[in-house]
Amino acid sequence: MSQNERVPADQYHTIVTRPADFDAFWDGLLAQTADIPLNATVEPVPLRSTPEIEVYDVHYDSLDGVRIAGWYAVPRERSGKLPAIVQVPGYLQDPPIPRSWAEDGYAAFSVAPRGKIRSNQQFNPGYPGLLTHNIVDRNTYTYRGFYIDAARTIDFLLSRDEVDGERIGVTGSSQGGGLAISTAALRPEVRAAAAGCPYLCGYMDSIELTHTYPYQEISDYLRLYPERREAVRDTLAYFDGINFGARITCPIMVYIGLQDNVCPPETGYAVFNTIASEDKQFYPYDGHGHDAGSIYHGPKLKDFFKNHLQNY
Amino acid sequence: MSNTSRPEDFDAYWQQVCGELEATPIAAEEEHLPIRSTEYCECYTVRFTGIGPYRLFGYLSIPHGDGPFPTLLLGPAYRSVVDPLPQGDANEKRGRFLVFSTGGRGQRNADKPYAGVFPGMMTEGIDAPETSIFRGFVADWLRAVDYLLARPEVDRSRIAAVKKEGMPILTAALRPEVTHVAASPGDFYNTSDHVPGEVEDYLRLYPEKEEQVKRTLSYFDPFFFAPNVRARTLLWGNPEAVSPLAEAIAGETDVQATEHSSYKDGLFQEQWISDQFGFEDAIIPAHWQ
Repeated sequence: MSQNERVPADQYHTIVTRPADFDAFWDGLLAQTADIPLNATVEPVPLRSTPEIEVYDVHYDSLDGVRIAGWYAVPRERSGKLPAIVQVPGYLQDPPIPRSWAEDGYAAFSVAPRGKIRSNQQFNPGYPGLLTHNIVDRNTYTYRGFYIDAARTIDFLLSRDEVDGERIGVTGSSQGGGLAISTAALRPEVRAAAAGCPYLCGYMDSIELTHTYPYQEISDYLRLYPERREAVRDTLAYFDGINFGARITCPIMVYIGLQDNVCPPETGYAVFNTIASEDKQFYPYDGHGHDAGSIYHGPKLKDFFKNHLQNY
Repeated sequence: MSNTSRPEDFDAYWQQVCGELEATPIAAEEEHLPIRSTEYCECYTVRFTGIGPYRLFGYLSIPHGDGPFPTLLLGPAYRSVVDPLPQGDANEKRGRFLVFSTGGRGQRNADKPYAGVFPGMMTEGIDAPETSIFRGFVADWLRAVDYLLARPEVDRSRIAAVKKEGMPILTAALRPEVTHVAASPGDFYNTSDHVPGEVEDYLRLYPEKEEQVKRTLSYFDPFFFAPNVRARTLLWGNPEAVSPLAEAIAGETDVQATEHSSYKDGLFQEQWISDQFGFEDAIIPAHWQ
């Protein structure tokens, strides 16, 4: 399918196939990760704290011995255990301090998976570059560790006395949307997930559907190494959000822009259709691009987590 | 108007920066980057020197064919990543425009010896205008213009500084060779009334520094640069809030309110630049067609 032969996004059929050992691959990695002590350090950050919110600089160990950083924000005033939100970052985004979630009453954690600044001392393929680093080998591809680093946030939250481990949600947009999907799929402790314009879903579809970065990184790579196309496709199948969908059973919302020039809307439909959850909602915003209608969707996002994590 | 006071030594401060740039050899070196080159352009990494001296970085993309080419300067943004083309832009644009996407000090590939932290970089040295990291960061935008002006492939009648923040305004004021600007007022506009969140954090911890911090920020208020901006300008923002700035800009200025849609805003900007540069059609990504 070329850019000039586009069918309506909701009628698009993905070319992604699910490897037979997809679940075994990830279950093996999760088991391997479970044996790694968290070794978390949690240091207060007075500069970013307010009279209402305490902010901490967090570091913990993840797969391959890589040390991962994050920002943790909690309300100072609280009665009883808190629901928690994991905020996962976009591809180009420097992970923000999740104070606004804490202001809404959550213990909020914003992670910097490997390669992001503050988590790039041991692993730093750069931007652009991260998307194609070791892309012919699923056992060393960037996103193998990257997804686990995001999933590991749940272990950090479960280690905190102030967090109610039965009320953890995950949210993000773009790459954060893709990580929300992978994290909800890998960690059954996630009780609610929200994925905006999810990236990392339909990689091989996307390089045909759009000629924009970041997916363009894969096209760039294949232009230089056309003979590696099959190996690239085989690797990416293990990391495609579309293949994680069947593992997701928690309530989830997916929202996209129908004119998204970064993460093609076709892939938003494709991933949503594979999600196994009984409680799943889809919001396609016409007239919107990679913002995914966030100006309208913001209140729905807050209500979604409030209903599932605070008012349940 | 801006409620911030214009520092008495504002002009002298920036003349000093420009003087330092003039005295600093740019010492550029390019390296071909096959992986980002295409059938319609060649891409290079560029290392060049700004004030300090400090070694900077950029991606240079030159269309195939006979130049000179209309040029897009995508200078440093406030974040760690420098990308060859903004996320979501049609890659085919690199076949029409010479594109120079640069990183300032502290950003990736320009992070040695100084690695910026985000959040955090904004308040680096903020206690005085002489030490603020933004003194160098603005100079890095100017140095990118200097680099372009030395390239024979650049069409000097069509050089646009583009970024949805205030830096293109500062750049066009100090480098009149910039012919077009697409910008927003940015974080440092009218900081008497509102400071960016990072600065707010800093002042919460050091309330006694408010006066000196605001004095530092006033050296970067685009309002004080506006009278020297003669470039044709597109200014993003709430029309009511930005109209004083738009009126202060010497060049003809269009004000465009955001529609809170990256699609609608992006399409407008692509068409505006294409119109300004004399093209009938904008090169836009597939999902905007």
